[in-house]
Amino acid sequence: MIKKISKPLVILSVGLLLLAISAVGSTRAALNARSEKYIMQANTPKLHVDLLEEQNGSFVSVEGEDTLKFTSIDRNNFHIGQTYPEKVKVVNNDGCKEFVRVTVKKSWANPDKTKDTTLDPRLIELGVNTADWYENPSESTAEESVYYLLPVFNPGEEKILLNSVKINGQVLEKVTVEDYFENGTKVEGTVVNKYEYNGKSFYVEVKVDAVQNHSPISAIKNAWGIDVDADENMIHKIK
Amino acid sequence: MKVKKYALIATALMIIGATSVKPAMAYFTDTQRATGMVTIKEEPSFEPHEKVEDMVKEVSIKNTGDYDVFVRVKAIYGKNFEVVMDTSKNNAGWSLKEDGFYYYDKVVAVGKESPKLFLKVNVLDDAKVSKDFNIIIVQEATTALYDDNGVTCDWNKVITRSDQAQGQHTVEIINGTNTQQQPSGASTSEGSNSNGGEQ
Repeated sequence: MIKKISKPLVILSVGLLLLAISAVGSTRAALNARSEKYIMQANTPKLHVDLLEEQNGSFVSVEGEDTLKFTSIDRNNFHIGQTYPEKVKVVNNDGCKEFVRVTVKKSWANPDKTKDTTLDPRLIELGVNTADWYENPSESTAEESVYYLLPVFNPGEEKILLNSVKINGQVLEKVTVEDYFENGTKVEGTVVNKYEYNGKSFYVEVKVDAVQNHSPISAIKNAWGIDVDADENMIHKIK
Repeated sequence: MKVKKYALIATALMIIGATSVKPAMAYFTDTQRATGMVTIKEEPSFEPHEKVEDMVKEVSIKNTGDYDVFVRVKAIYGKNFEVVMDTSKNNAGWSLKEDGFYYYDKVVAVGKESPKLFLKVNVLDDAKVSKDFNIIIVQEATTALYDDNGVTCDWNKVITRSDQAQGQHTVEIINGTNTQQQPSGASTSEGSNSNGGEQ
């Protein structure tokens, strides 16, 4: 028997055959697993995280472009320097424990909605609930901040992320004085104030990511690309 | 030969193992993203409203810009005249300060108009009054500055935008009746260092 399969070519062929079978098996397994997952959706919880903004007194799930409404701001009479309530919260409306992080981006936009990189995003001040959310300094810039919920996020739990929004009063000081022209002719002795931020929009993006709490170190590394010390209940350290 | 055979088998098993592990490397994740924006309008401008009746000047200022402002008014006149707040009228919110300006103490919101300030023009010596004379009313505004404690302003930063060529109005009072001279295109708006008061 041994003699019959002693040729290396035969063994290689058997190996390749096994490989082919396993590939088919894996695909079938994946299909089966997926089918099972779809079936299980009706019966078992799946990982899910929700982002909600308070709009006119009640929280509304928000997802997509222009879904953050900033309803406490009177858009026809916005007060620079005034703090406006802006509540945004993250909810685990899932049956599983999960780890959660949020990326908050802020910038200025031109009237045509293109980004204006010449204006200072630090003047957009968002009141973040840092009592619950840990800002990772190594991932944060003037334009972007990444906040982690270090304890595991339990099913049904919710955490306020943002409390307020304010545009720093320095915006009003960004004024240049220019010559005044009337019908293309410079009017001597007359100047015009040009307000740098006038007509610009402040833009805010909030993105929440959730990942399973099982095998947290490899799951977080795989999903978010960062190294952590963690167990199933807590991220102890972000490296 | 045996070694070679086992090596081949081991290699084949390793490849099989590696390909089998890959599907098991997926993790449960979820993500949700939302954006929003608000446009800033901060271009202030204002429009003076004036009229004269029985030697009483009525002045008010409308906020025609897109940002809240504070306003103030000063009367500039000759030595033979006296311009004072008409106490027989309601001048609520207006008060005269040491620099000769009458300040309105509340914010004039976008699209709103300040209450009227009534200024009475008294002639000190009728014999010295020429046929024509001018009382100049200077009107200024500055941006309202909001913070968490409320609202303030900085009169060192008077709105200068020629100020719409409306920062200053000249009013001619001729024998008790008046014609209102609209401002020219050029700005004559005066800052906080205005040499107002009596001429």
